[in-house]
Amino acid sequence: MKIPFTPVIYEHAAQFVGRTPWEVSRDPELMFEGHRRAYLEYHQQVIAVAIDIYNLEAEAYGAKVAASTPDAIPAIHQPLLSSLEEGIALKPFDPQRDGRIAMMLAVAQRLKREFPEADVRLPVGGPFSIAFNLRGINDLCLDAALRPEVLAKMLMRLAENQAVLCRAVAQAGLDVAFFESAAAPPILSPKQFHEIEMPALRRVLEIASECVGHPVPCISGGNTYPVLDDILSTGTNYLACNVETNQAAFVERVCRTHPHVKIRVNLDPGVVACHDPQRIYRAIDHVLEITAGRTNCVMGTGAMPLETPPSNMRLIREYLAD
Amino acid sequence: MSEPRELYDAILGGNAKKAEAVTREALATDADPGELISRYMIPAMDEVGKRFECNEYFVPELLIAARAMKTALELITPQLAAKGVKRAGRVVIGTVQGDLHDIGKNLVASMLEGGGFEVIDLGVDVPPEKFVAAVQGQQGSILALSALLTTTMTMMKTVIEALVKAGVRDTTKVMIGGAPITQQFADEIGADGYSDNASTAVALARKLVSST
Repeated sequence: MKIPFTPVIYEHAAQFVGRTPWEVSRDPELMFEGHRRAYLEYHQQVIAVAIDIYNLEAEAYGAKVAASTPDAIPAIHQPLLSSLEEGIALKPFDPQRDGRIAMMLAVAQRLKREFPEADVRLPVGGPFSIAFNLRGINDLCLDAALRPEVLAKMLMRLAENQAVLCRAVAQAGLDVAFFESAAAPPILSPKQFHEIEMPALRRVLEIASECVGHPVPCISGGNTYPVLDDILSTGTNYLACNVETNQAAFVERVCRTHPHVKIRVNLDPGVVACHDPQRIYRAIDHVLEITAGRTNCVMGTGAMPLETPPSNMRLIREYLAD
Repeated sequence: MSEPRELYDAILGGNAKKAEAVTREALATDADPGELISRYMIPAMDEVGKRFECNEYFVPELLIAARAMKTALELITPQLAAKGVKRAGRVVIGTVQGDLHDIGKNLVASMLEGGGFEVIDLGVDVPPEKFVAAVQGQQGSILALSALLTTTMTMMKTVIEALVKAGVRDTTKVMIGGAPITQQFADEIGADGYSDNASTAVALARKLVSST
């Protein structure tokens, strides 16, 4: 194979049990079976056990998750916090009691028993991603512009609170799949990212690394190239390189300055899910050109859409094997 | 005493209090509300859009500028209405049925309001018939449809078909946006325009208004 390929499976797992993302996200048996079958089909590098990863912590804090129609991805529509001060006062949730965390841990442990060779992880959200759901995007962005120091304080609180989740993951014999999807440009400017987000991001990665005993991947969404130096300064050993950023410059910079850091260079999930093989091949060729045989790079996807035909994964693998 | 020119700076800098104060003073001294909009407010939001496009401004700056614009507009609107001056246009906006995500939709709605449009926000998970009802009898409306998911973006075509069926497609401009949306998709389903961010959405809405 020209480059290792690993898809990212969240809601897509629901397709393997023929049920809706909402049903699978709430039922431990369906979640286990969906991820089990997905792994048997794809053998991806990481089984990240979840359907709606963005909602887990916010729900554990008390936010309400909903899905309007059967195939909708569950989402939080009503912000829980009416002020930053409420966020600063948030007490950690109890992973064994609140929301679906205990269920997710149990499913992940079961998958680990089923596939001892697999790298089974539980998603752990970054502070901005959690705040995004707790405050709502508009309020959060206004906070970033008008009360940056107070927002930074709230993010630090959320980062510290993640210690209970990271400890629970480690105690369950699992690993952390850390993601921070919303903080990078164009949501925050590089300056805002540095001043508001970075202290909390650095802290939560420290906490996660301490709990599992090694550096954890930092999967960040958005246009991350302008904040790449900041992200690298956290000491992470694994990054995602998204289609929203300058992928060529991103890969070049990481390989030059941090050659030990692994990079998952993503295909566009929309292309991965499409029915046009030539379009998929062009996207693969683009990634191959960028990665240029570098051994610290793998090819990946963003979160694969629910409806992605599994045959597309086979098509990608066959193309890479040729 | 503030100069009306300061309204431009207040909006560009996202200073809602200053925008309110300058607007109040200007109106108290019989400034022409239409001129305040055309000479200071719209150019300020245009500049905000340009700065966003060249990565000088980011979403927080967009939102505070739109908020400052809205604050000033709320003072000006009654006087405009009294003089029979119309808003920049009327936009009905919502996330299509089956989709609960409102991030992009909210940003676009804020920017459109800041851009001087009357915005009717139908929220998320909006069925096609509700979109149709909101534009019926309102000739020249713009319908702005948002979707985050590849599974729900197809509903945009259903909405356009519902507009056709209701006989209001010819009197309604349809613009679409959202993470999985492309110009190609917009062309395929017969939308009138596509925008990939909140800033260009305002420019697109203006273009659609001028083409009606």
